[in-house]
Amino acid sequence: MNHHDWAQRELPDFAAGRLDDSARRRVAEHLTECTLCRDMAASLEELAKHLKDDPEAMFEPHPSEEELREFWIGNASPSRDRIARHLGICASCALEVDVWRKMGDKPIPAVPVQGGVTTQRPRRRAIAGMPMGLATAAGLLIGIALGYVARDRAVSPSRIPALAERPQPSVSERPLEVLPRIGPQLLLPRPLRGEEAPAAYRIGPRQQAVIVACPASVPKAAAPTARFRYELTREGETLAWSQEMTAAAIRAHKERTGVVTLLIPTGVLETGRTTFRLIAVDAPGGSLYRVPIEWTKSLADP
Amino acid sequence: MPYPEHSIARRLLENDPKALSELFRWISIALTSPRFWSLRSEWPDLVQEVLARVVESLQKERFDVNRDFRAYVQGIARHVSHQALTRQIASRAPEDVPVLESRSTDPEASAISRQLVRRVLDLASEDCRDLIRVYFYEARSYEEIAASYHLAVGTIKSRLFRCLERAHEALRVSIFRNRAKEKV
Repeated sequence: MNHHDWAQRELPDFAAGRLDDSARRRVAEHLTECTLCRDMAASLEELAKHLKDDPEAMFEPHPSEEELREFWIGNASPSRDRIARHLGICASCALEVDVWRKMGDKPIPAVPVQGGVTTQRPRRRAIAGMPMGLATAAGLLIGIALGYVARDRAVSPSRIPALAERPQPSVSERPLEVLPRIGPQLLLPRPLRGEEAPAAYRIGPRQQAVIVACPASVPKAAAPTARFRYELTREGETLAWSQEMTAAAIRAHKERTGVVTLLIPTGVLETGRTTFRLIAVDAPGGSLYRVPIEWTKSLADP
Repeated sequence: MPYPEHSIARRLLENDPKALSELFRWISIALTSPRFWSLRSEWPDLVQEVLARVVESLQKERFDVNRDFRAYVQGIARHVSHQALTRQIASRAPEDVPVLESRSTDPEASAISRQLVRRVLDLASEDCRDLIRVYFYEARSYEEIAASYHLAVGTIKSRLFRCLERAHEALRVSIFRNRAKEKV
């Protein structure tokens, strides 16, 4: 066994601090000249450090999906503290709660956890600026949440009773009320030369919003800051709904998913024909994209 | 709708929160793989993107009910993450590579490092987790471990080393490691 092999085999003991002085010095000397071993030693030291700091949390089982949802809803439970601590150490569970939080009407309380990270992390840059954030509500679930707020003001944070005042039904008692109902996504047809391929959509009785996916692009020549508006007009050109986005935001979404997804609250939709358009705000003229949509309302959920 | 009545795919399209919970868990597990750790700030958006693709796929009846839905969803999640990673790498200068120093005094960096270690342990096999626990946490000697496993000391040492080697690989690919270490 050469020196490298020997040192490498000693790395677990080195990271765990189990080597005597002489062996430790020899390994440390080897690390000054061997990148491979130095890199591995860094990993093992990282591992050993966290196992030493909080060993139980490193091996404890994950909360169930239901426990995480209960936590997000704010229900009191004996495991609440354990889950809060777990979220500080488990990226995937923290992500689950984060997504629930963004989707729902009830904010989870900010839970300080070890290391100063809370479950309410700042939103990413696209959402940090409010106008741009709203514009890029193409992110499906954020859009859902926004649509829910738009549809029903009763869920605005200021009107949510304090956690202790709220009734605390179990998840199984109120599963569907937790989520805004969005129904199927409406994927608009790709632009056809000189044609307006119509689209049809049936709105469910409890549906609160419709996700519309628009495949239209903005002109290549448009500056990133150029503003564009998606709008929905009823017959007689009455505006029913609109949303502005910059060319940069539209391109970002097109690049990522091939479409721009928009949230339209069902409250603004009436049975009958409307026209969906994409127009340039700064250069009025014809529509860049135009498609008629026939809305109907059904008695049963789609 | 071609999906069986009580299948997760069907329940998902019916907006069943429990089905959505399961879906979020599958997606979260795939996205938080160490190799996608540099996408950390984008994870919530990526979950949304994956969810949108899954729902669209189900609505267009692209999913074959004979396939494993979990594997299907996680496949989409990995694909979306790879695309995001490619974009990230293409748009970032080498000096922008995020740095994570576990011994940093920055509590957030330390918390992220701890989460990464926990994730790596999650991905390890049951045997490896057990060995790592008794060695680092219970601080048992090789002889004690070997006796409890009814194996030779050399075998235990080799197995532990292989487990740690895999853990190191997972930590290394996260690219969240402190590059400065290489320059020591």
